[in-house]
Amino acid sequence: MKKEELFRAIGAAEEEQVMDALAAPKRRRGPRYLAAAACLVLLAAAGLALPRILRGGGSTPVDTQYSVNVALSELSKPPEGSGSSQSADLVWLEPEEIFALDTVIFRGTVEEMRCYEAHGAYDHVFTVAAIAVSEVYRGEVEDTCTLYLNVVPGHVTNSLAGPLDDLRVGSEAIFMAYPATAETGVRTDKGFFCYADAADFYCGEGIRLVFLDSGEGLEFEREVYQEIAGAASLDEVEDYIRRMIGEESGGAEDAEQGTQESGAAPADSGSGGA
Amino acid sequence: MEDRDIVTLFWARSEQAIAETARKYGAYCRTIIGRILPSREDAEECLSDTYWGAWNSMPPQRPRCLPPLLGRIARNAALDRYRSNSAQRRSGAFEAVLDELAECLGGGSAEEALDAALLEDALRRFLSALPQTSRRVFLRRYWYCESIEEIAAAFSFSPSKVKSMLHRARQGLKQFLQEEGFSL
Repeated sequence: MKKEELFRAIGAAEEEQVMDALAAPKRRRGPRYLAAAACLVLLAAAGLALPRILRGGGSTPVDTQYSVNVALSELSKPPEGSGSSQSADLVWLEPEEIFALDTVIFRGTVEEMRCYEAHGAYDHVFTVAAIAVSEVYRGEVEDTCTLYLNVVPGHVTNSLAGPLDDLRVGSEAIFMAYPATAETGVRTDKGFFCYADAADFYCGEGIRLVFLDSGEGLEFEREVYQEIAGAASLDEVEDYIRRMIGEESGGAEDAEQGTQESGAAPADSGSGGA
Repeated sequence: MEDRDIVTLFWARSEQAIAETARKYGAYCRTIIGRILPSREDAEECLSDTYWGAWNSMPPQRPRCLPPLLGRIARNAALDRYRSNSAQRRSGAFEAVLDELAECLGGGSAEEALDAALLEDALRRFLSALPQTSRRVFLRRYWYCESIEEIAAAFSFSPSKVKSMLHRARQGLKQFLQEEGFSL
């Protein structure tokens, strides 16, 4: 077969698909994938209805240990008129590359969410979620942990938030997060905001690193994880994650042991093609 | 004029069918041809071949909409002329499209005759199995011959993401064709 023959044969694609290819794709929650630079889209504005946890005035200072020239306060509501723009360059990664990142991976339920503000050398509003951990797939994670999110779900978002926009108390999700250490954070020319002053782990984006059961369906970036694009439960995601990080599932081990005992060769379990 | 009315003109063997087709889809056909043939002279001759091909296609065909049929005729006419052109008159951009498709062929040297109808049927099944966005990206690249940058802009993707999606689709196509028994 020659390449020209293949090109010619592609011309016989179904009419509807050829026409559909030119249809403008729908945009969900604004642009997700970034060509060169992305802007943070802030939805917080005066006049938005806010849940009780965020209403009212005032803030409560929070002690810091590692941050330099940055003060933290727990907020009862996002500050009015807050707004900033930030460039981000999202490098497109294959799933294998995403799982090769130095993240911990765990499953858990959000028990609490608190809104905070960093101000001084770095101005930013963020959320810390307290999570009851039910399963750890990789890394060291305690039974409960805290997770820094650079969004305020339902109020302040950005183009990398993905499923984090729908994270709520009671949500169950699988998180791929980075341990917050004394060296992790945001450095500016005037100081340093350290994630470790806020939480045990931090999640810089939701698009590729969070799989959320919102209660109304499973939310994750299916275009990235095409192998499980049809997944409908976190259990299916869990099986996939275990395979991707090279962890043998208990069922597969039992099956292989059984067939080896009987003298038969174990079944080949290659991944799908198109 | 609605496509069905233009098709009716073709069936009635009215020369107005060509005029209406040129008026409504001339730019569309030129765009597709232009991505394959960089020479304006070649492109204009190919456009005429496209209208002639449409005239010979209807009847017996009676498409519900004309763009896919016209685009297919334009692609094939442009490809025929491209193959007969010397290297100096070829489009580097289109050569890149063909080279990408060559990745699906495994570098083999199979010489036996190819059943085009079987291959077309297999490709339709492959495309139908692709996720919608992947299929859109695939067809924009290999049906419409759009550039990576054009596709990235249309979907608000990064060019690297488009390349990655196309690479996965080509690998999937290669595996699919092998499983279907095609000699690559």
